[in-house]
Amino acid sequence: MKYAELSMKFRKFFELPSSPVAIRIINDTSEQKTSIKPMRYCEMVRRSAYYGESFVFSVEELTCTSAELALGFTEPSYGEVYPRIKPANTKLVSISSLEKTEKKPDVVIIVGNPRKIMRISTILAQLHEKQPVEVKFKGEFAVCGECTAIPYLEKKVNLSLLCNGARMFSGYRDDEVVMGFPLDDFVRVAESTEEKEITSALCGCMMDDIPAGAVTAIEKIGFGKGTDQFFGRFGTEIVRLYTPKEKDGKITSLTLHIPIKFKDGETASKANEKAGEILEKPMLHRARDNWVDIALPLDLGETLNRASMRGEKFEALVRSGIDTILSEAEKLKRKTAVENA
Amino acid sequence: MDLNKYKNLTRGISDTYVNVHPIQRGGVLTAEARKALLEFGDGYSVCDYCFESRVDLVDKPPVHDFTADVAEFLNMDDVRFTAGCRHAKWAVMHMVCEQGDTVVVDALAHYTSYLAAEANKLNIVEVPHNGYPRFEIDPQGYATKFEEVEQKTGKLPSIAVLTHVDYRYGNIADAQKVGEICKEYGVPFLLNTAYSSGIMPVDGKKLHVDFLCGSGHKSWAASAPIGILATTYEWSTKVFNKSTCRGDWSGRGFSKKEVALFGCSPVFGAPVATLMASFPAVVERVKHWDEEVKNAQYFVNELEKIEGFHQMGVKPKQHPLMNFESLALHEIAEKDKRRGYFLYHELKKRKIVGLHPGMSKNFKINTYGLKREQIEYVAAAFKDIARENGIKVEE
Repeated sequence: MKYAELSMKFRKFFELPSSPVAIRIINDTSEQKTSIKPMRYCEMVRRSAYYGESFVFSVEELTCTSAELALGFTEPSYGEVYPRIKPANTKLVSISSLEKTEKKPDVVIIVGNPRKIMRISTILAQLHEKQPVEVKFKGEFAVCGECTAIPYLEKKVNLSLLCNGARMFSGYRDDEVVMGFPLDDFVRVAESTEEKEITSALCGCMMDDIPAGAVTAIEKIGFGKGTDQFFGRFGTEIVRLYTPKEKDGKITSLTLHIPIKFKDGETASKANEKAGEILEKPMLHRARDNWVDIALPLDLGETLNRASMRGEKFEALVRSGIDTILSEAEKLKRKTAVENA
Repeated sequence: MDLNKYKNLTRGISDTYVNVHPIQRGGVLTAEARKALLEFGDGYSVCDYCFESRVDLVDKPPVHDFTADVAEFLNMDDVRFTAGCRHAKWAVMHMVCEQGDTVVVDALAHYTSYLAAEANKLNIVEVPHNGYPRFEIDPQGYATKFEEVEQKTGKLPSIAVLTHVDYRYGNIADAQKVGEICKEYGVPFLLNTAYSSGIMPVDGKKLHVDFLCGSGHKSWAASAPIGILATTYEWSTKVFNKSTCRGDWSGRGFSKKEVALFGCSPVFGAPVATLMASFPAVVERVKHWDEEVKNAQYFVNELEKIEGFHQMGVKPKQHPLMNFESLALHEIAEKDKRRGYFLYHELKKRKIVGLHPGMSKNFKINTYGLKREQIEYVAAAFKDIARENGIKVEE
């Protein structure tokens, strides 16, 4: 998926007014710098997020010494600084909104409010086996260190509550926080934002509310799901499984169906009359033009959702029903064969 | 932004293809409508001689007369054209119901019936269908639901909606019976005729309908989007209520504009022009409905000669929109690299289009308006595909 598409998906799903920002750390001077007035790194990131501006800059265009250290332009003179990109080999940094970037970013930064970040965090946790999102911040070296150097060097998603500089000089509002992603994590989050329950449904509509677990359990027996019913081939016969609803919308029974074709409506009507004598209870039968529909109700004794969790017991009930309806269909066909000839 | 993709737009199918799309057959333009489309394709083209500030009152072209003629054709009293059948449903609910009221709909209703209620903040209660394989709506279910709603909320539903012909199985519901039940309970009755009026005879008064909505682009051989909203004089003032608002500073008012139609219904050019141009043909074609039903039944009979093919819904088929189970084709599709698209491509190779790409387990198809030879050709194509793939076909 292209970066522009990823960006749009991400923004749409998380209802993000600003663009994710693509950051590239460049260790040579092969790229042309953009002509800009010197400013703070965090300001460039915000301008890119909100106004779609792009920057390629060197240390000369930076007005913040924290960013100079954090982005790896300069080694610290006195003691260690954390977080920072080290060794300090950075020559240029490229910033652009993700939808405009063509080159592979190292880090993606998003600017959002706590509510948006909360939603992103839930997806992140799901992608990391439901583990909590662990972040570290200290109110300084924020966009440059916490959201660029950490994702870049440690390959970890990190959150920053920003620093005084960002809030005072770079235009960040009180309700804004920033999150930095290694590219792979961002891609995983963006790609997991499909609204599957909508996109996999017919014409964008959900046609029933059968629990997913029940669908799986029925499919395991050998049925495939159609729009309204399940159907599968058992021997040479196609058996349909339907999930009738009670008045209150609950499903506490199943019905198995085999429509049997006759040469014309009259023959079907006669066969239907005979079916009353031929078929065992509780088989149901009804003529429909040149077909006789035979059906077998299966009482689950509880909701389909619970019944389908019972594994082998559920499967045995349905399989026994299939055996019954197959044998009854065979019997009806055999005994009405003369009329149908 | 690549603007080239907007140039030379084509549909990718030519006139020589047979289109069996379930929702497109009744909307195929007549030759007269194609002519009108070119003549009135520009945006507000029917408004050249608008002296009455509303599209339904324009005399040249004769939209004003046309509303009266459509009302007569449907045996209703008053008609407006809307931005689709969905707009008509929304408009009725908006003008007749109060927020928080209950609307009773059949469980096979089009999604826009549900959304029209949702947009009007109405509670939805469904009349169930009887399930596989018939999927019929029992009219008596309306009486049951009316009583349940009254018991629960202290008042009857503010409207009942019935889908005359449902889009999933093409079953024709017993609208007359539902209409009688609505009259008995005093619940206004909205009949959605998106798949009936315009292709088959529909008599609003006979069906006891208070509101009848139709779809120009689905069943009246018109360009989208256009719907038809017909009502009786008992309701027309309420439904077509005119604006009473005034600008608090300017003093402006819009007293001729009808609120639920956004003042002047947005059907100004191609939609209403094609609807009008096709109307004489539409009036004529509903007289031949019995031939369409025979053709549909012939088609079902032919397709059911293929092993595993089975038409769901009421039999014998009474409407050309139909839904088939086709497990045998699905089993082939699963082994084919095109997967679910197998059937779509095999038909397209034979110059037949309109089946939903990706569907092979079951599919919907519509034979409305096709000549018998075309129907024979489509049936033969299905059999041909079946035989080629080792599926048994009765001779």
